[in-house]
Amino acid sequence: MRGDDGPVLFAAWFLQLLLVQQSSPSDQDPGDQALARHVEALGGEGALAGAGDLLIEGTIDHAPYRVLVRRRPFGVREELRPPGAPPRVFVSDGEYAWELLPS
Amino acid sequence: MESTAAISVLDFAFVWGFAYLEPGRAEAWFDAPVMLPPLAGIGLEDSVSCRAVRISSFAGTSWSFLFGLEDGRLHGIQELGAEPARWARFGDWKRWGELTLPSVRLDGKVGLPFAQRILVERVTSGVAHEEALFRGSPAERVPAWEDGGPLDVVLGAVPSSALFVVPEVRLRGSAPVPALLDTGSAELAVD
Repeated sequence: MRGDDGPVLFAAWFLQLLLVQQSSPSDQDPGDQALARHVEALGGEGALAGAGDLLIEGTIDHAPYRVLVRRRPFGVREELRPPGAPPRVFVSDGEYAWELLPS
Repeated sequence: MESTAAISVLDFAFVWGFAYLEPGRAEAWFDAPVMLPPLAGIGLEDSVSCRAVRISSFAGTSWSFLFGLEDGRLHGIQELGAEPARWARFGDWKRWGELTLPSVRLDGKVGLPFAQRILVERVTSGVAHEEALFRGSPAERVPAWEDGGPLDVVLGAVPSSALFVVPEVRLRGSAPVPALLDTGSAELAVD
């Protein structure tokens, strides 16, 4: 019967309102807000997702340094080349961390 | 690799790999803003007012991540509940492709006068890293559970009592030794 739809429709509307309220930025806790703003500062979610795997090159205390970032499956490899010493390579998969020794 | 070194590698990976952005990582935030002091000469000339968010890393280390209230950037991290606590500062943001990332990272420990400085000169996106570069996990060398053998049953002096002995137990690659299965333990334990 049509008359019985009233409470159901009201419940649906109320639930929808709740969902909208929960997803509005103003109701996020300050920690989530800070993280959301940080993602925007990095370039946005689309930029992060689209960037894929990264190669970061530079120096660590003036020695050559590279970081290879693999997003999926997660992996980070750090390569250090200290002058006058063998290179050092550290790898992590997010659960374990290990150093690759020269073979 | 020592456990402290492994934790350090895990924590570096946590930040470099943006794992701190994973949903559910943030545990709490601190209401009062944190003012980070300037560090002249490395692109951190201005003090920054930050929101501190507590986030646990892969290694279970608790960190305070400090995000700028004005710009949303990650300006620093500080380890919580450790002595001496590790910290890092980030500055001199640059745009590489679609991403904006800090080009300076300074790592140190509270109370120690020196810090390690990382200068980022280039970030390349969309790189196809070879699978082999990420191999070597110690997990690959862990034997399967089904490699275990049967228990030896040693009857006790009291009627109907017995001790259970695991005949071959290896600890971190040691020679196999017999071990007593602790049946009174709430968890699986051998003595």
